[in-house]
Amino acid sequence: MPDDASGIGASLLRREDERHLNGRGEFVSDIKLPGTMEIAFLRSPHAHARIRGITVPAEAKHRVFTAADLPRLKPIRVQTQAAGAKAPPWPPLATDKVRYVGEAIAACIAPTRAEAEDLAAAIGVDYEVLEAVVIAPRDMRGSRHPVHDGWGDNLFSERVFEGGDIEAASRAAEITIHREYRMNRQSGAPLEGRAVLAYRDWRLDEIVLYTSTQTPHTVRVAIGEILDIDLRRLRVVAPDVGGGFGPKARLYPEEIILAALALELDHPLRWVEDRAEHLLTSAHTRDHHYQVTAYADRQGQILGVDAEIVVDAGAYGLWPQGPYQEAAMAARNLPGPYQIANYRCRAATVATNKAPMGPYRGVGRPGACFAIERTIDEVARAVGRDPVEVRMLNMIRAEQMPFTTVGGMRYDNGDYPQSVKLCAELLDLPAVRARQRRGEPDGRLIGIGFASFAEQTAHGAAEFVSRGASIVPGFESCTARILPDGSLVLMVGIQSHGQGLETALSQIAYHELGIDPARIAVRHGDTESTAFGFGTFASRSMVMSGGAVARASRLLRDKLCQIGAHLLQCDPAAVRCADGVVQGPQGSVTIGEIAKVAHLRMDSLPPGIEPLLDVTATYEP
Amino acid sequence: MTAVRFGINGVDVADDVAPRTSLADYLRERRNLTGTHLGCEHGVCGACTILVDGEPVRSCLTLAVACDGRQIRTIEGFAADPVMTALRQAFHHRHGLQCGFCTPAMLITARDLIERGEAGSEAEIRRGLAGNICRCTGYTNIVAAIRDVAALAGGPGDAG
Repeated sequence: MPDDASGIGASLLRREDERHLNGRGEFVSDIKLPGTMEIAFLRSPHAHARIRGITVPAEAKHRVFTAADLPRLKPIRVQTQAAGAKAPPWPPLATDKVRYVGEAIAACIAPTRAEAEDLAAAIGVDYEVLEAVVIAPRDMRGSRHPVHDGWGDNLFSERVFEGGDIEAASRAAEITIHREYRMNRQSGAPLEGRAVLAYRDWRLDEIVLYTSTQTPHTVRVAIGEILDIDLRRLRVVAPDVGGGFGPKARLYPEEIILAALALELDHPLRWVEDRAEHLLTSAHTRDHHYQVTAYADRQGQILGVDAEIVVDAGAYGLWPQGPYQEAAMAARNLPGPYQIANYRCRAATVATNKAPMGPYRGVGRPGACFAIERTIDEVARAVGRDPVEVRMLNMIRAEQMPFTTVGGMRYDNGDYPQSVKLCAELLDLPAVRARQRRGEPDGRLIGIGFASFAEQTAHGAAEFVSRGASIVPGFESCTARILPDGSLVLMVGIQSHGQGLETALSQIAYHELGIDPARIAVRHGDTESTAFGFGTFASRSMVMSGGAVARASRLLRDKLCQIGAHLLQCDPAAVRCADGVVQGPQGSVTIGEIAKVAHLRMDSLPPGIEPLLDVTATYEP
Repeated sequence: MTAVRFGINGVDVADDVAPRTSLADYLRERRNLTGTHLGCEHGVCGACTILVDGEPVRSCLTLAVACDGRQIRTIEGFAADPVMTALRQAFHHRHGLQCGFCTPAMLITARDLIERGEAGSEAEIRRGLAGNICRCTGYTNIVAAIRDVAALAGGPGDAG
């Protein structure tokens, strides 16, 4: 069994560090392939316009590709089971219309990025500029030029969440407050932008696509479907990735376009997003509008909350989950850790002429947290009590656990009022209040705020099914392979981009097998070497990939014990696997010796045991 | 094309460069020195920081032709440098990096602060690092690592 020096819970130095500290990390834009040509995209300067024509200089025709030049490009289309939700087609290169600033219109190919940008600047586009939809609450029911022709309105989806009796709460209220809150649009801004490198491997008859993504396997699935090529002909690799934070957990038009071009052209192609492109075109986030009415008694006990959430989701739905999850998660989390009995929330996801909305740290919930915590403070002000008292008054109490909120979220344990009380004590709240009353010598105003936030992580299948998701990222995988010398390779379907999973997953295998972490390799981010998995997002990889590593390691351990017992000529029930050996009553055999037998000396295997130490396991939470 | 001559990590190099080529693009694309990273390409994020004649510069805002006759030093050129070696160990032990994209330039800036004797306090280090953005760590462990090395170094040393 593990010792404390390297196993779960030990603080190991990261094996990822050495390459980065020496400038030897390998990000997509660091990869050199002979003959690579650079791509720059011609992008729309308009939020909303019809394209009447595109003029490419005659001498540039074979180096500029528009949608008309790439008939293979089918639109990105999100599938959703959510009732009434609309899923507009999103052509990877714009066809008749552009719907946000930065939307790609043409791919321009040249030996250097600068020359490719020169090409893009030489293309003429005849735009008929349309009125842009930019204010979601105003334009959701309709606008002069809807974002998507034929919709009538600008609604991706709209749903009402209800619990209890909000009308009764309204009638019983001694205090009613109404507030409007806004959380602005943000960019994810990992320090490394997106980047894609694609080429055709003639020997293997495949397209190889290096891309700075959190989710190589699902990107591969989507590209295969859109370009109608077998997945056996498509390898997607996410090498070192310089931060993700959510925006890189989605499929992007550039990945599809470069894969399509690699099928057409006989040289590698590279596109490296610059920061302006990132800010314009990589997934945006937040952009929530809240109208919140709270009903309370004179003590500040909240009787009900009646809310409207409008999410400004941009022009299209990013694959796979589309634009819908922001509003739904915000609506379900708006009641927070409070025992609000009566609730109504109308949550709308609105199409606007902005970049598509995607996941970013917290997905939907930071907005909901902000809105409900502000509301608690406003109720406290209205009843003349300290917000800390009103917060504790309304919180789920420890003896009520497990507690399902009116938003449908289940709190399984914890003492929330006690946490607030401890915080207030640590801050010496009475002293802060006294200081506020005294005033600052320089006239500044001093504020103090409290907020509580419970984080959902490692969502299982049920969560995604409940959202109407078209793909259900409810498991992770690990292929664990002990090589003939007893060293171990873990091949996992996640992607590690700063989380240190190359180190942490090896600790889990060490915990199960006793193989020194220094003799364990963790491979991730490459569809060729790893079994299918969904990637790294929503704080899932340690739980789910970690679980898969543990299960695969246990399968190996069972086989090691069977072979080891045979070699030791004892009962398999009498051996145990620890510290890199299988220990029997009278002796031991190392994993290296067993591995040698499993690969090179099958004549020494016990009857009925197949060669190899190679297993694949999945894990779902 | 313009003819240039400069030293890169102690080796003399003569080359012809398009006048509009940035030093960062030149080093990455022509010399394969990919430890110099490009995060914003307009001088804000600091990921492309290298040394030119011993001074930290933004290689994304510097034209390669402007470096004619100068000495350029990138993250690949510090193998024998004792302060850099100590910083690498300290970043490793203090968990001063996560995704690693900002790390090479963060190290070059940190070394410069220590060499100039401007890493005497947490406030001084944080001010000195203001031009290098890290999106992962929250800086706490980066600052701790630099403090460790600055305490060992104990004062200004030889720049360059």
